[in-house]
Amino acid sequence: MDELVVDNIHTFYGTSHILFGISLKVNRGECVCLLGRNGVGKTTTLKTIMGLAHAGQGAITYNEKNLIGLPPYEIARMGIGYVPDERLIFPDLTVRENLEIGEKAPLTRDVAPWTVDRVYQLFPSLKPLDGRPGGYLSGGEQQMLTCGRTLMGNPSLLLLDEPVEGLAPVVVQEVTQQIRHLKKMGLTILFAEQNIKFATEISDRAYVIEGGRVRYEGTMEALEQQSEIKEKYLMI
Amino acid sequence: MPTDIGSILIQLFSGLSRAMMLFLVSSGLSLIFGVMNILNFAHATLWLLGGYLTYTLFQLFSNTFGDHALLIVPAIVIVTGIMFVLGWVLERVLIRRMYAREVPEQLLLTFALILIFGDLIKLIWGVQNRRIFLPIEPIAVFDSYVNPYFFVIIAAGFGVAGGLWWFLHRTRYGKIVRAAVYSRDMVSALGIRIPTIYAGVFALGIAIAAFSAGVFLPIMPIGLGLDMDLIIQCFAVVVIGGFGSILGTFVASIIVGIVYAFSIFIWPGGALAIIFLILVAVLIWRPWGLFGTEMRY
Repeated sequence: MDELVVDNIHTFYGTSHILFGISLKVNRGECVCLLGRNGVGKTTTLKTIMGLAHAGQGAITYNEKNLIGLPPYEIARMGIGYVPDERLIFPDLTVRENLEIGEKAPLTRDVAPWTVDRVYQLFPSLKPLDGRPGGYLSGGEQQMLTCGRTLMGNPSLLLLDEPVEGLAPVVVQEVTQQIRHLKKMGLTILFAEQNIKFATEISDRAYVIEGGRVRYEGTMEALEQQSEIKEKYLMI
Repeated sequence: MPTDIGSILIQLFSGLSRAMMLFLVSSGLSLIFGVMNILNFAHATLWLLGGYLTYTLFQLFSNTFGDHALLIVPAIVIVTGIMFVLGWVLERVLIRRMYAREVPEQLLLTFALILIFGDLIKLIWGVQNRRIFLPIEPIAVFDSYVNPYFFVIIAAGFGVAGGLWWFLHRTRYGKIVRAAVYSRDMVSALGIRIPTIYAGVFALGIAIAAFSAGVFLPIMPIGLGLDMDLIIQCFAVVVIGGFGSILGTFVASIIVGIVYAFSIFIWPGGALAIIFLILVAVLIWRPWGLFGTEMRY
């Protein structure tokens, strides 16, 4: 069943037109990737879904409910979690306080809610940093904290914006494992990525984006065969 | 300049109590700017309104229950509550429309509020100054006499500063406020109802200002025009301390309050000038203020 449906959205920042009719679907339990180089509209797509950028045209529905025009906090309360690429850790709050800010009751009672301890189980390297201000973490630690903070809100759909950007290869492997784990727990994931290698490791399907338009959509196996698409639109 | 310990202590106490008033008004100003990016030019006018309301309520209580100094306590508490509600309504009805606008437009709206509330005060209370007389005997300190009410003010200032610190660092709502100073979008994306946070912060700032006006009534007559003097000094305090930093606002209030008290002693005409010299020095040396942060998301 389609969980998230984005239909022909056009998004503007002021007078500059960023998205030219992006359409995509994410099914429940799927891990879908938005692939493309820097500045092609991946972040704007995620921000538009989250209500942080405004679509001038088009429709977005989540579980058949309209998202267009809703403020971000209403969208978050419908079960969508957003992990921004700028991370936006609250620097003078401790790691634990950052996580506690994200706390929000789950929408259904049949799932165990996330707790600070469960986040520490998923990201063991955060545990010893419990009392440290968020501003004093390394890039990888900040990425895990951003992700943990969003999980504390018990989302059922996770929007991840370039989760491994700028991280050391060892940390990338760790984060890959953790995202796989989240997927196994039943979370639906839509994430933006530049690197096809990392995307292939975790996603089921991909949308290749360039110039604010979807240029290709298909499964990761099918995309693997499309050497022309890969060369034209992706970093290899 | 008299240099005996008694006179110096008196200046110190009066400077410290002045610092407390500056802090109580500026902390709200700084918090509102830090969280919502709104420069509330009308902050001191709402402070003045709180003072007049406390005066009227105190008179009403005195006429009903007889003269008793402690009647000022319920008057201050009730007015703080009323001004919290007024602050909430103002934010919901007017201020929230300004978030997406430029600073000059914000100033236009808040300046209009100054004129509206100023005229309202003139209509209701007239133009003469108002104050509350409390039967308090001065106490001897060395060779001079000090109004013990100074200590009440200093205690109230430290009390509110402590309470504000506790609220911002120990309560969930306070931590959300601190998080919102860095990124409103992220706080909103975590599912937190930002409009409630905004209305709450604005109302809290106004309530603290009204509280300070009430606390000061027994030592300082209030009148129209006082709000303009105060808001300018509060802007100086907030810039020196760093916008959005409560600790910075506290330290800057103490600096400005004490420097002002001693300057009046030495060079009455130049007291404000000295404060603005400090302001200029801070702007050159640390443009983001003593305790402000250079970078914001």
